[in-house]
Amino acid sequence: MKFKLHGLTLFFCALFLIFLCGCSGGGELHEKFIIQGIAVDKDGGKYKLTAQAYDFQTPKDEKEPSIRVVEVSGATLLEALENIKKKTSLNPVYSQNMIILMGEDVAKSGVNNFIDFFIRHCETRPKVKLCVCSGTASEVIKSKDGDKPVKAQNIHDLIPDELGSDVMHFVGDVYGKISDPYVAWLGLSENNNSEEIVFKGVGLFRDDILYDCLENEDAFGFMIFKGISGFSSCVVKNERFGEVTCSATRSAVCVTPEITENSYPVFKINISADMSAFAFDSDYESGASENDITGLERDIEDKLGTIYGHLLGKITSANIDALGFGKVLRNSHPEYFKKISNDWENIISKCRYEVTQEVTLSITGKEPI
Amino acid sequence: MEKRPAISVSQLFCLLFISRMVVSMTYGNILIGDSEIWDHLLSAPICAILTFVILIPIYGLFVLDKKMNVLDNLRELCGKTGLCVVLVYIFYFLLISFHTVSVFEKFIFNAINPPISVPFLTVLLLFSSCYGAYKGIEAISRTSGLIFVFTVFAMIFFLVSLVSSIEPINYKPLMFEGTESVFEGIKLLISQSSCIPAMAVLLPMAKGDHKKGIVIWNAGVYLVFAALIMLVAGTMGDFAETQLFPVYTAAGIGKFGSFKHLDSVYLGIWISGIFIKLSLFLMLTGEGIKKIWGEQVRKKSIIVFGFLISATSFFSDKLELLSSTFMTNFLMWFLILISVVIPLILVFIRLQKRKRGVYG
Repeated sequence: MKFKLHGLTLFFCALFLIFLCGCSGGGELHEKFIIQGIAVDKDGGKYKLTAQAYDFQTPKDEKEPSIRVVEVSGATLLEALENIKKKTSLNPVYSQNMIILMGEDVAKSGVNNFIDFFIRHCETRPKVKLCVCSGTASEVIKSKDGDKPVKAQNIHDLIPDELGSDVMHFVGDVYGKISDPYVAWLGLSENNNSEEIVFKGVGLFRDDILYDCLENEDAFGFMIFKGISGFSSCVVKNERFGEVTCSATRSAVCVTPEITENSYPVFKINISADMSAFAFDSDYESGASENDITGLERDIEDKLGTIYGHLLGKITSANIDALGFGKVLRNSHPEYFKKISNDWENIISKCRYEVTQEVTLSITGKEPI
Repeated sequence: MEKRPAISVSQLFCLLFISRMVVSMTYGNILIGDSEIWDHLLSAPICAILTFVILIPIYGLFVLDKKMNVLDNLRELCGKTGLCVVLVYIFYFLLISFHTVSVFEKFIFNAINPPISVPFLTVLLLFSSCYGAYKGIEAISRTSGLIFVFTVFAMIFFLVSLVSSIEPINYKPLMFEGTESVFEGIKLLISQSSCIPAMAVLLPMAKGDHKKGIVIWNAGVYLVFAALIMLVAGTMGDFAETQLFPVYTAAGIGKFGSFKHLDSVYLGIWISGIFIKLSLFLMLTGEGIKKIWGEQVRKKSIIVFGFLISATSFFSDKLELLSSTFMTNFLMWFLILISVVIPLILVFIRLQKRKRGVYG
């Protein structure tokens, strides 16, 4: 009797396992459209979406699946995404998506109009990189390196993680309403009949709307402020060596707000940077003495002073807080910030910003004997 | 008195640790509403102290007779009235099971959105939990020992993988928006401390140094909780407020070497924890039934309660009430009633009877 009961239990347990078909709804790999990158543009009143995905239906070789680019459009982003399935008969998978590229038009019309999907959908990830492209994003994601399409992974790798150019930071800044969001600014450059994607700088937003872009020296200053080394180089003029090219290898920024009665806050910004000089215009054959290095350090500090004067002027005069001064003020003087928090965006331009720089220079490469 | 199953104190507190930690994974807008999660960092130590205070009557009652739990005391000291009060405990344990299932469904539906039906998943979970409850405390605690190891490893990994992503600027001053969130945090954390009433039944089943177990368990629970808040607020900043389940979102952000996107691993461990918690509370419900109607009814009741909870999972949209502010307040006052008021009355009755020489 006991044996029969156990047998019956076992039978029902086995029967129950039939319903444990968690993987059956998943589908085969070749039935999926595994998205690697999404480019969002505006085309009239519609969203034009270009998605780059792995194509497992026509694999290029065994090691690597080929890449497929699909263009769809819709009145909303979700409608456009739904059209991927209609166009390809594949199920879009968003969990492997690495980057969202926005065209200038779509960024200027407001990111909040479409970003909700990337916050809410259970497959999307908050660390997906977000960037804005000069012109259209579609051109960037469709660009080719020779005859091969540029992979979304390579575009993703262009943007340093430390920059915080991702959905999480963007949405956090929009939602927090203290600091203004920013994202990486990409563009295309023509080079020997092939297109190259260039990490040009930073796109600044006011709330969720693209306001301006920082390029060249402004972008260089911004990156040093955010602790990103190796973004690009800057050229300083030196009495002995002529034009010297150097790049930042490390940087740290300390911002100390000071509050005085009946006046706006003063932000004392200390930037300490390790720079590396690697190209001298003249007199490079005789080597650099300690005095030469000290002189060069002063020249770089002066240059950084000029860069930050321009950068801070450009950002703050537009009442944009992309460098996080509001959060620093909130954390150090909470009671004061509470009083001005509603008016913070109008106060940014009225604050004073005092920058001091400390540069430690190392001359890299082969020193002449 | 019937023969009691015996587990060790460490097994008991591993079991209670998992049951308590299950709540932390779903900590977020679903449970706390608009409350500021960062301010709950202050609520955590206050709740740790409050938990010790709330535990005094239960521990006091246990010390008076280490072989009897609160249900035994009710039956012995209050007779038929006591048995009616046992029903209150049964209702509480059942309510916590409903609440756990409701949170589980909300989490699965919003954060995972699986292709198979959520109520069906719930039925499967309840099916295994009923089996766990049916086997009794020894089987549940042995399983929890294994899950405890995975939970601790997962938590260490969670900490290590997220610590490098912390941005100090995200730590806003505590109580920046006022003290309201701290009080809301206290209310919520205490209302979710269903392990305290569970302890009133489970303490006599465990052998060992109970006092040490309580101290380590309580300190561990709130230390882990504080660490979770530090990590979530530090890595996600204001973005955490846009997420229904920020702890789960944070699990997806962390990376350590080539390991990343480990949210699915945490999910597996969390569902194991849900299984332990449901098994435990169904078992406790059965313990209450046993005190009134005996062992045979206990076994049947577990299956009946399992079916009852399963049936409600098909009407999950009607379970909104379970995560409302009303529910938080209700659970908190209910917890105080069965963890403080009733045990205090029992201690008083027992001491009175002892004075009169009824007990030695």
